[in-house]
Amino acid sequence: MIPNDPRLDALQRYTDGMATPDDVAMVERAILEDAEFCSLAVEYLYLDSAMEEFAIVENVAPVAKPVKHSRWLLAAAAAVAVMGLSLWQWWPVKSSVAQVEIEVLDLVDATVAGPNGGMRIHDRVRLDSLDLRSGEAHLRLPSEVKLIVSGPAELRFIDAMHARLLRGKVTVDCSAGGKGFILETPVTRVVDVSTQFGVEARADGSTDVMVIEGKVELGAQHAGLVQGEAVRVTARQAISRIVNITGGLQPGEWSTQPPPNDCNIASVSDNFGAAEGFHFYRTVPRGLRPGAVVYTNRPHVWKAADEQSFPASLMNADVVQTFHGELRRSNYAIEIIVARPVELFVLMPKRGAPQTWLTENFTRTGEEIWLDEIEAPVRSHLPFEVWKRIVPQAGKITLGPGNRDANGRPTGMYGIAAKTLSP
Amino acid sequence: MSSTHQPQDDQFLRLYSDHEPSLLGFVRSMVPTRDDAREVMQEVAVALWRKFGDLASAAEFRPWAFGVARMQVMAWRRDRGRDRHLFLGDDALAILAEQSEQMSTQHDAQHEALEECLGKLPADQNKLVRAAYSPGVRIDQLAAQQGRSAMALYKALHRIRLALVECTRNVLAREGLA
Repeated sequence: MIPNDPRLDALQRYTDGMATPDDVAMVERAILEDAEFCSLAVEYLYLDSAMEEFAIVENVAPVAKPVKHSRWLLAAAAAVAVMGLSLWQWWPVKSSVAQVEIEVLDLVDATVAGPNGGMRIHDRVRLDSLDLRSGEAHLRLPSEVKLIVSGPAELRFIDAMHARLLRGKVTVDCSAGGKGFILETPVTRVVDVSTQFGVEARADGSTDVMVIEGKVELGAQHAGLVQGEAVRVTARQAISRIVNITGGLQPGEWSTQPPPNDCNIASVSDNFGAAEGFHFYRTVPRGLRPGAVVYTNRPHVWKAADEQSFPASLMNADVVQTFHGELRRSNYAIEIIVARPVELFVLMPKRGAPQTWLTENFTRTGEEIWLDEIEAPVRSHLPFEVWKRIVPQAGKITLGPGNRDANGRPTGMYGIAAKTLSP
Repeated sequence: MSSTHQPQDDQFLRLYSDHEPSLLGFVRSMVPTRDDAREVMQEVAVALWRKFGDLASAAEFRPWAFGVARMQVMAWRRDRGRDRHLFLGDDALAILAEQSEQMSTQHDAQHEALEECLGKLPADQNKLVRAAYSPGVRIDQLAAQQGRSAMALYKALHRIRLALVECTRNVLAREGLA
């Protein structure tokens, strides 16, 4: 290697994306004519791609020496013998995946396979992978990123700011730190901008991405998703809107599967169309109560009206978190499919004039609940009226636009809830 | 959560994950920048996934995947014909690909050697090169933080890379792998 060889400077500029056509010609000639230079170029470019695995990330714990294969081999063989697992399902992680110090915050009915099977709550363990067969594992990385891994799931850790989800579901919370955290799946790369999102690498090869709060970017698709949006990325890189999310009361409780059979609401759809983005509706079985989230894309919650208790008729009803979309459209429609006879509730802003679809099919119950703007600069509340309709059998019900003021402007988005109709 | 995960999916994911770093290094040797390599790798992953069913056995994954990656690089170059003045010619590319694929058979050893060599760098150089490769870091911003020009920083990184190449060669030779 000749330190002042101008061909090396050209190789540097080529590697750093600053080459001129003359530089490229010089590098090309050197590769063709000088075997030693060619070897150097290959090693230099390899190093350029490999260095990302050693990059500094703030608050990263020291990276441990990669585990030797021989030890993994023994451990794997032992597990096969003891647990009767196939070696293929158990095969060790390659050495290029770094070990990351991880704090175990909680384990909920968790079954962890492999050498990490003995980890306990409050343990600090060095992991390069996690094979969670069932249950949930709540983990905190040195970057303060929190992960809720829902089994069955398999995760590999690159460093404190980068993990790879091979299969299963992970809910990521970067609110305490870790902006820029990257979660890769076989078909996309999700980069956190801020602050909470969920990813599921599905068995069919597609990946679901849902933003609970803040914003993420999808690397390969160059798409940004904001709070309340969810998409499915297929192996062919097609993106489609996920309309329905089934939610729960805990952050990790979300799914793109239909609600459970005992939920009164089977699905929700609308006619907003592609221009409205990728907003989803979240159905939370038995989720309506004080503090329940109102919209998927706003930080608002339901609360009891002043000096009143929360209406018993609504308490623990199955609730749909709707979203604030383009409400100025005069003809938008939301279709609800109910699974059985129900009392269907519409929680409508107590402002403006109700539309005929509401007045002709629903009746006011006289009850009122408030929307609490918990993150508004000046915290305030907005009153909502409760409207009810008896739906005598399972099927589809179409809801229309929300109330309009005297100038025809929308006064806000409504909420939807349902309870089983008593015999 | 779906419980219908297919063994074939498991197999693909494991094989792909195990070979991804060496595939990335291979692709990187044939495209001008790291960003280009990441872009091509997305296509490689999709192509491998779609064609995985055609593979006769797991043992054939590695040569097959490198072949697919090579095809994807060629397709990427065709799609970006307007930039061809910044691409190496086909002959040079073929030589690079051959050497890179050969080198990738020692990926784990290369990786460990690189790690050892990083540890031997003076602390300031170690910190600098790791910082420069951190996700989202821009060289001009890093240079400004350090009170030097971007060009000076590129040159410093170049010298560190050359030192690392030299060192990894020595480590691999010591292990009898060079």
